[in-house]
Amino acid sequence: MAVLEVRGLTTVYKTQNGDALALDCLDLDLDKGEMLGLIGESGCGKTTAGYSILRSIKYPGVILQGTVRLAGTDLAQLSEAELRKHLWKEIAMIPQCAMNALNPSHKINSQIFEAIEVHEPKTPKNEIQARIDTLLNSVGLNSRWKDSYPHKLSGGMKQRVVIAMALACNPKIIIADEATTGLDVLVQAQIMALLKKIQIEHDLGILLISHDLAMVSQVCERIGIMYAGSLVELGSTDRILENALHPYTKALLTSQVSLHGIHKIVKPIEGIVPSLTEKFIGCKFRDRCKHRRELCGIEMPKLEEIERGHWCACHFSRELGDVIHG
Amino acid sequence: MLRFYTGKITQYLILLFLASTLNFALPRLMPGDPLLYVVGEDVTLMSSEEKEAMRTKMGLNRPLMTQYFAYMGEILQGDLGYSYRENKPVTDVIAKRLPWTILLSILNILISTILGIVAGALAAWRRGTKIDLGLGTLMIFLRSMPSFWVGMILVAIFGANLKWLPVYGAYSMWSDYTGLAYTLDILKHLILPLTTMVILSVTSIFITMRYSMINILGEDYITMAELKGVPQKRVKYKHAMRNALVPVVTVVMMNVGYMVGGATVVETVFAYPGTGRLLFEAVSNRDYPLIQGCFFVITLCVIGANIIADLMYPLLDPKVV
Repeated sequence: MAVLEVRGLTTVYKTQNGDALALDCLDLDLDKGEMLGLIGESGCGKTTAGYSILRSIKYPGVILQGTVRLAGTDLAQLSEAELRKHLWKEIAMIPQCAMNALNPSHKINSQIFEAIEVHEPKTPKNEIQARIDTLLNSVGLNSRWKDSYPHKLSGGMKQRVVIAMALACNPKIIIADEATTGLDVLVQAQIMALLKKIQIEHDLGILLISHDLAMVSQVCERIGIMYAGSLVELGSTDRILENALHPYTKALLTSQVSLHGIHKIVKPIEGIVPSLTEKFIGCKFRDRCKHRRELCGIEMPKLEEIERGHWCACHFSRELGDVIHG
Repeated sequence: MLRFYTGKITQYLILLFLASTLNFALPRLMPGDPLLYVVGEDVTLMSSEEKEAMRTKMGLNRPLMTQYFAYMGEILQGDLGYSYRENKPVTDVIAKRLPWTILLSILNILISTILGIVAGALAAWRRGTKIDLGLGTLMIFLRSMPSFWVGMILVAIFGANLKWLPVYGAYSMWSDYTGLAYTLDILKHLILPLTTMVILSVTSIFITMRYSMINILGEDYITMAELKGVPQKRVKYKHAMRNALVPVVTVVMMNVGYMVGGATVVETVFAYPGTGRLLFEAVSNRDYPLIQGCFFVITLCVIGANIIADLMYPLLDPKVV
């Protein structure tokens, strides 16, 4: 059974023009020791998904329905205080732009210390200190940095500190939201390698939220593609790269530049994402889809298992893709 | 760290030097007979021999540079000139009044800062609720009232109608209170002018604090602290408060200048014997050496407040040093 089970998670943002449906019935499983990439363009609900799973979304974001089961416990049934006990101990987050995730007026040490202290009040102080040293070393930082203020550290170092902080209470799951935004490509690669390393060492489940398909496909076993608040395709990285079923995924793949293989023309996806505040009937991608038919405007396609472990939300995915049966 | 402080102190020494130079230049740049500024309008009644004798006595016949160095020497010795109106050295006149203004100002800074910070933080934490709206409306209302008017209304209500509090001076004249009774008497006299000043100062601190706190609450590290499972209260006080206070310190210290100089109106309304009222008297009497002395002391207070602010920043924001 999966450690993290998300079922029908729906989140809206209250706006003056009505509710914006940012997350539409998200179903997701994450296993121990698995790295799942969540891909999509800006505003498709990736970050909303992350915060909604943690039930920590702030107003005007409101979770309408859905369950999040973490090792069997439904987070929705917990009180605020109980939820706080689970956060970080069971499930930690590396927020978007981790460089701003450190309090500028507190030393690194006190910020990691706090995370451990809150959840394990009985652990002796010197033991926590020793653990902080180990944590910093494990993310490739010299432990002497713990006595510094965040502004003394470079972007990559801050990112490492935030990863160390996420590991502080030995969580089962880490949600990494755009963990490498704002870092240069070299440092990005280092951080991704580090994430992969700790994932294997700690047998962690990592939900990697990103817009960079190329980067995610290098480290993740499975990939989920999001479009306008819905998961449109979910499957193993290999199958999605070889045989994308959803027209959006296909378009996404042809819109990326590849360093390898034959030179091909990069095709942008025509059109724009529909407004999230409008009530939508049918497939959300149909206005931009080459393969649209009458049915697409009438019925919203559901996420279906087309081939083993490969899910897609398109009425015609069986026809469009090169489906392996059995 | 040491370099930061020595750098700051050097800056302020230069500032002090420039301020005193300006203070020296100002009366000499003004049109007319400098004697007019020293002795006042009585100068028209003096004969030319008397004027000449006065000039020699004042050293106004000496070359400008000699006058300048003499002036700087006097400043260093704490000599700000002689008030012919009061017939006393300016330093003595100001020294007698300064403690009252300092008492009023320090209490005002303490009370308005604490009130402003508490109310501002509360409004930010309860953003959009009735508490926020109520506090905001109250502060805008208070801010739009002129100080002399607030003072007069307070005098009318608590002094004239209810007769609860004294409205004149800093202590009861013709009484010989001692010890506790004397302290209570001073406090009673302090309430109305202090309230007026707090009403004036608290609004800007409230507005700055509220805005700053709202900004800080939107920062990623606050979300991070919440995600870490840190209890709400601790997030607010330990993570948000300290960072939100930095701009407030600036506003408070900028207010100090206003308080020492701007107490003029309040002190005049309540006939409070501080430097503000002294400045008003000096202007009414055209007592130029005294006016100049008051300005110089106000300058010193503003510079002093800035030094305190600069020394406080590193305690709040580690990035400063």
